Amino acid sequence: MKKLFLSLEALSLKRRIFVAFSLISLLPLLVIGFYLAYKNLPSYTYLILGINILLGWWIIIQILNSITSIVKKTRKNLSLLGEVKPPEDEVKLLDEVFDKMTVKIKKSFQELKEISKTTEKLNEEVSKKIALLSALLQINDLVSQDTDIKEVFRLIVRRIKSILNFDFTFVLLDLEKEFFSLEAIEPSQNIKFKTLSKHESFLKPLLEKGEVILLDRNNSCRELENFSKDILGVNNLVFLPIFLKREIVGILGAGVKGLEFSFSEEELDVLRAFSKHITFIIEHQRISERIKDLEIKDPLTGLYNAKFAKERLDEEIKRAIVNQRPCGFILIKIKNFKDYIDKRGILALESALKKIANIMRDNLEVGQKPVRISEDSLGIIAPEKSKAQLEKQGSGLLSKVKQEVLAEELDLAFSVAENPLDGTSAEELINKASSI
Amino acid sequence: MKYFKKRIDKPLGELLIEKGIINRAQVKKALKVQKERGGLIGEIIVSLGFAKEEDIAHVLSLQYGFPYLPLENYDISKELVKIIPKQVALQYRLIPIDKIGSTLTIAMANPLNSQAIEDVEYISNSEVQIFVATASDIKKAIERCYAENS
Repeated sequence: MKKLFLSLEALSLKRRIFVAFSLISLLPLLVIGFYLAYKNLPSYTYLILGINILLGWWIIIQILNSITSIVKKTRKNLSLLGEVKPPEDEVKLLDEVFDKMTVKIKKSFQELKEISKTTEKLNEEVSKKIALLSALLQINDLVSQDTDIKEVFRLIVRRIKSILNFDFTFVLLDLEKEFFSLEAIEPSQNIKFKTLSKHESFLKPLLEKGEVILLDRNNSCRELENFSKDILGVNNLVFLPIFLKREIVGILGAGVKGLEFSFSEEELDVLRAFSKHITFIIEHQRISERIKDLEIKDPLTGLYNAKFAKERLDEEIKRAIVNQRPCGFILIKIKNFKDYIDKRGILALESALKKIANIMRDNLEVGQKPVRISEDSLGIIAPEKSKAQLEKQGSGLLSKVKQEVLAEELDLAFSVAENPLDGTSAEELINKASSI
Repeated sequence: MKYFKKRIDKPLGELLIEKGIINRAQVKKALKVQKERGGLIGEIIVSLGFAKEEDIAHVLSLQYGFPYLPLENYDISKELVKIIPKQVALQYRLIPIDKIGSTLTIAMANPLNSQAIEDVEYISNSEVQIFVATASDIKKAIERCYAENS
C-alpha cells in the first residue's frame, strides 16, 4: 500500500482513468454507432453495456478513494511535522508537506555532519590515548630490559612530539646543584642549550610551588618568552615539574611554534602522564642500581661477582698487610671464549662455566672465595697463600677442570698474583694475573 | 731456607712473662687487642707500652735461636735492596743485608713468618738466612735505603 502513495505511475492512475473512460463513454458510443448502422441489437447487449458502465464508475470511485487517501496521509504527515493549521487545498497541502520535509531533511543532514565531526574528534582523542598507552608500554618494556636511561628519555621525547604534534620536546634532569642538564631533546639538531640554571626567574613558580609554567596565547611571561624565542625558536612553551619523593628532580618541556596557540587541558594531561612516568623510571633506575650494589653473586655460576671479588680482595689485602701475611689470587681464563661460543653455542659455554664453577667450589681451601671477574675469567681469592702455594693449587685445579669439562675444546689457562709481590690492591693483583 | 731451629717451645707471651718483662694480665690484654684488630703479638705488646722492641727481639732470638742484629749503624748496599721490592720489605718488615753466592741474608722483625721467607726466596731465587731485628730499626732502614735507591 505504501508504494501506492509514492508515485502516480505506481498508482496506475492513467491506465485506470483510460479503462474507466472506455467503459463509461467509448463502449456506449460504439454500441450506439452499431445500433444506428444496423438498427438491430441483441437484448443481452444492453445488459453488458449496463455492467460495463457500472464497472467504469467503480474504477472512478477507486481512483477517488486513492486520492482521498493521499490527502489524508499528507495531513497526517503535516501534523507529525508540527503543522496544526488546516490546509486550504490539497495541492497547497502537498507543497507545504514537501517544504517542511525538505527543511527537516536539511536539518537532519546538519545534525549528521555535527555527529560525524564529534565522532572524528572522539576518534582523534581515542587514537591519542591509544598512542599514549602504547608509548608507555614501549617505555616500560625498555625499562624492564635495563635499557640505558638516556635511550628511554630519547624515546619519551620522540613519542610526546609525535602524539601531541609539538615542535620541541625535552627532558631536563637535576644532576648538578645549580643546573638542570639536558638529557634528551627532539628534534636534536641545532640545540642552543645543554643546561638551564636553577636561578632563572621564570623557574621560580615551578621550583618553589611545583607549578606548571605556561607560555602561550593565554599565558605570558617576558623572561620565559625570551628564553623560548631565543633558545628554542618557539612562541609557546610549557614546563612541567618531574617529582621524586616530593622533590623536583627535573623538568619535562615542550614547545610549539604557532602564533595563536594555547595548550589544551588534554595536552597537559598527556604531558603530566609522561612526567609521572619519568619519575617512575628514575625511581626504578635508582632501585635497580641499589639492588645491583647489593648483589654479590654471579647469576649464572653462583660464584661471587666481580664487584664483590674486588671489594673482598681489597679487604683481604688490608688484613694481610696488618698481619704481615701474603694474599693471593688465582685466575682461570677461557682463552678461546668467543670461538667456543661460535662453535658450540652460548648454552654449551654456560654449561661449561657452571661445571668449572662447581669444580672450583669443591677444591677450595679454608678461607678461600671463588669468584667470576669477567665473562671469560673466574678466580679464587686465597688469603695467606704465597705465590708458590698458589701455583701448586692453580695447576691442580686446572688439570681437574680439563679432565672433567670438554678439555678438547676449551682452551683454559691459569695465572696467579700475590700481595705483596705483585701489588697492594685488588685491581693490581687482578690486572697482574690477567696480563700473564 | 737456612734458619735456626727452635730451641724453646713456648709462645712469645709466656717467654716474656718468664723473663719478667710483662705480666699475665698484660698478655691477656695484648691477645684481646690482637683478636680485635689483628697484627702480631710482639708488635701489639710494644704498641701497648708493655715491653720494648729490643726485649721482643732478644726473646725471639732466645726462643728460636736467630741471631740479633741491631741495624742502627749497619751499612746496607743500595744494589742489595733492589732484590726485594719496597712494598714486600714494608709488608713483611724485612730488609736484605747481605748476599753471598746463592744465600741471601735478611733481617726481619718476625722470623716466624715462613710465607714471607718463601716469598723472598721466590723473588730472589736464593736461599734465605735470617737475622732478627726490631721492627722500628727495619722500618728506619727501609726508609733510608729505599729512599736512597729511588
